[in-house]
Amino acid sequence: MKHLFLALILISAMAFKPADEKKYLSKSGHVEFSSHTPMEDIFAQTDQAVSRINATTGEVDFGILIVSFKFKNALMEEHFNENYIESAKFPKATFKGKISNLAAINFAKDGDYPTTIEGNMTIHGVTKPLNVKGILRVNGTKVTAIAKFSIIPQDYGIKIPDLVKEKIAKEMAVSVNVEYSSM
Amino acid sequence: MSKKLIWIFAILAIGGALAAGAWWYTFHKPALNVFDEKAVYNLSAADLLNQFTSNEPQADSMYVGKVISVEGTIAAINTIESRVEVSLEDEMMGVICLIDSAYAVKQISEIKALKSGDKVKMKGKCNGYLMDVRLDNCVIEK
Repeated sequence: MKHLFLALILISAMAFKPADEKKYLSKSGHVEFSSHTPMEDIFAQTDQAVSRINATTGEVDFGILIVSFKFKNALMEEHFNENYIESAKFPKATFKGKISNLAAINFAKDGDYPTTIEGNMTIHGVTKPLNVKGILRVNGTKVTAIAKFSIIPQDYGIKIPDLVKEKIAKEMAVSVNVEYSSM
Repeated sequence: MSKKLIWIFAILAIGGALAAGAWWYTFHKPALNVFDEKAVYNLSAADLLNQFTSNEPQADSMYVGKVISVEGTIAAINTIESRVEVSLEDEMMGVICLIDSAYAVKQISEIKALKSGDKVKMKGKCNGYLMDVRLDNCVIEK
């Protein structure tokens, strides 16, 4: 009965959805971050980011399950999850934003479109405004988002003990590469 | 040589060995190997999905970061580069079991035998819920 009700809601929602709304989805986005100090290099990556672009409204959302980040060093991965980002308490990092120059992007024409996505990033339960500069690459029915930016862990209430301060950079360099398919 | 001196040497030697061991472990802690790991929980994919959709924080605290075993019906199989994603129950909102490339190489014949509609049991590390429940480092059990 509950399912039937849900199905009815879904069907009616589909029926009222504007037919021309164009959406893109990816469930296998690549995200990596790194920190470089003379003492230690840290590198982690995941291929499990989930993201959606609504090409009609310009809305973009993005989510990562923190535990999916893989490090070269297993102990580092354990410390990252347990001591720093507390992934059991805050299992997700999310970003919600809007394409600032939507009119300049033609999703029907192949090409590289520089853009800024203005939005809010939530990491470790703390939300901060963040503008991400990058490129939207249109190639047929696929769109690829490529961006590089940096994150300051302290901004998100992530405490780095004095003992390891020398080993972890103040800013993490983040690199994102997501290939979306038309929905 | 006095007894005291021998003791000091012995303590220094043991201390040194422990420090060296800790140092070695820091850089050589073995990565998670799900093949050898025992599942903490055994349940159906539908049950797992239901637990995440009805009470996500509770499901997070139970399953995130743990090796679990799920059984369900294959809705889709997608190969991306050298990784294989097996969606259970539903392709849009189901349970996605990711067989990472290093794991895929070890299970080529098992992966080839997978078909949509088949029942499968997979063991992997649960990452949480994001449109789907996600497992990675997956091993096909049967």
